[in-house]
Amino acid sequence: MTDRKLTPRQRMQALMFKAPLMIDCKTFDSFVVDYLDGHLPKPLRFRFETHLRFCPECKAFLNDYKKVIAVTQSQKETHKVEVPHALVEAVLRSIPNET
Amino acid sequence: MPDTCTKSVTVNESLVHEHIGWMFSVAQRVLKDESMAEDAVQNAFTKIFGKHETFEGRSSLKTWMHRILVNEALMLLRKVKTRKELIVDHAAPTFDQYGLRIEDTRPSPLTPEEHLQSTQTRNIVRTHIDELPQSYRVIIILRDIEGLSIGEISSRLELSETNTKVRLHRARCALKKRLAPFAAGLMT
Ligand SMILES: [Zn+2]
Repeated sequence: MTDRKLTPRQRMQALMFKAPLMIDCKTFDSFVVDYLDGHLPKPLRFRFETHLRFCPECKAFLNDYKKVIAVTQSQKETHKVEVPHALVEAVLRSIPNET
Repeated sequence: MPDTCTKSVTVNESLVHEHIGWMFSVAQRVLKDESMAEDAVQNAFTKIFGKHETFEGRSSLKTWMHRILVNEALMLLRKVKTRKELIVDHAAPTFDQYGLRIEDTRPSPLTPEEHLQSTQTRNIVRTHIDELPQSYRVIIILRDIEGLSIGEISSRLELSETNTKVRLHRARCALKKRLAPFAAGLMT
């Protein structure tokens, strides 16, 4: 937690996020993983999405966060490696002969 | 004789040739070491050959083999558990006294996905994943690349689900932070 001076907009936000059915950025942050997995229960999802509408900081954060996941996922297809010949041979030799 | 309602796995050379490529690739990604990756693949095949009659066809064959391989790789990784890692968490999101997010005011630093698909970018992303502290690296690989669920990861790493989620979030934030300066450069 860091103490800081707020701009008028941030002061508004701080007040707004204390209202009923609202959450602050810190709570929003703790919901991100479940939200993206589709595991956030409906009432919380509503709060999460409402916060997203009113908070440009969290909106930008979530955008970048999703891109990071996307580029990480794209590693899957692209990571092609040469299998050492000796490994292939060793595995083939270990096939049980049971016929 | 396999039961008619369970699929059987035919253990033969073509099974090996068909799957060894991705298996070695996954093992290398998790272990970051070629000879350990070879061991993981070999151990996994031993399990697969030994247990192929227990494959019930509830998941696809590849999924079943993938789970076995990941387990073998994690087992080896645990054995070489290196010196205690000091995770200095500069990357965790920060909040002020009102619970408001404190972020750089710079415009969104990451480039559109098309940019990030280029080979050069992929290599950079890979390097940054590899350089994460091991406990972050593994969790990001298992979730975002290998597609394991939070439940599966938490049981394999012996962490609570809550802990797993917190660690995954931190890991993604750490990677986001590492990628930000580079991505900003790519945009111009
Ligand atoms: Zn926010």
